[in-house]
Amino acid sequence: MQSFVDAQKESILISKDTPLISNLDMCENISLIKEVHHLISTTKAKALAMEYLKKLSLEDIGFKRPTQCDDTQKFYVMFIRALMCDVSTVIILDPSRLINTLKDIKVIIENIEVLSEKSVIILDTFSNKVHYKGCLCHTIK
Amino acid sequence: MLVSFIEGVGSKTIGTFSSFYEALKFTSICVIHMLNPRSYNPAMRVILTKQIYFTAIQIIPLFIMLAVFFGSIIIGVVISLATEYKLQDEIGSIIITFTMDEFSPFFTALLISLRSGTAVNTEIAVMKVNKELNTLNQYKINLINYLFLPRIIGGMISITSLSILFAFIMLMSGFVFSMFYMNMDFHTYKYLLINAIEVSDVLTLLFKSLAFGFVIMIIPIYSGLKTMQSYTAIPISVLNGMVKLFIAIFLIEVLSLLI
Repeated sequence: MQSFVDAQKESILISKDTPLISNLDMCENISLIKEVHHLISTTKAKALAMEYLKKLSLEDIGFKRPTQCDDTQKFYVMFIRALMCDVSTVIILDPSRLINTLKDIKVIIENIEVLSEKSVIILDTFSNKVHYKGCLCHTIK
Repeated sequence: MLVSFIEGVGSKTIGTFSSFYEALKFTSICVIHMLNPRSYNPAMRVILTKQIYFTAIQIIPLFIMLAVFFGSIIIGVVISLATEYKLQDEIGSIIITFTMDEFSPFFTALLISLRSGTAVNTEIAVMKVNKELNTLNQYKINLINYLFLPRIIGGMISITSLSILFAFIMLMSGFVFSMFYMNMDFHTYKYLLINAIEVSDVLTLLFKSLAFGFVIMIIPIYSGLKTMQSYTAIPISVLNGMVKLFIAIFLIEVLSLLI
């Protein structure tokens, strides 16, 4: 999996090794990317972050710290943060390790479609195949 | 036996010098970034503001209390000793030199290093262990610009302003003591200080405070960065950082006495 990730240029990785910054709230975690890379003002970047959170009805977690949120909420924030980057592909590595309570990935994929027009690659182990039953996404073994 | 002893001493010396060289390299990189206007982005400015708030503003009530308490005792001792040794004519320059050149920056540095130095060291160490620094690297966010510079600049600004505040409170306490010991009125005290103060005293206060602010932030940051990838390494990192920081503070104090 690592060699595949390394081979992908113009991509950003979401994994256990890229956690949210604990001393920033969820909104700041997202807005940080735009503030640093596009030099957008904090107010505008936060408004944009809130806009994305609203799409998933997660605006109430905007001012919460990562420790106050559950795994699924943290995952969505990590995904939105990845969307703020100037890359064409978002790679999600082993989602079941990111969301411990994950049973059905269908809901996650539906929400990803709501949020993103970028191409999203989910890399998972074969043992987690059961989570993807009935999903309409392309599966490459 | 002798060979292994020499080898041991040699490897320790090389280790010490190489870690000193690394620290020096890190410091110079931070200084270069500090001088580069492109290092300053909106996110960095937000962190800088927060840092000044946490280091300088939040501590003000406690700081004023400590400044009044310690400042009054120390200045009281200085004035009573000066009176005892018949140094009343020199009292102005004694108060100014002691307050501005020595005690205010040194005491502020000790207080802030205990409060903010430990906090910064722990924060960076926790971020390292939690792989949050890895996140910032993955997202191509420059650690120096985003994480370290606001803390260093914030520390320098905070310690300088708190030192000035401390000196002011100490000089006010000095008036209370001179009133009791020498029956001095406020106008006489004020002119005594104005006549005694020199540009070099102001410059010493500023440069010393800036130097203290710089080391109080950069040493804990560097120590936090060097933390091993385990939670048990965090207290060790803070301990090492604080020891190095206190050595650096005393070194600056000694150097300032020599200059």
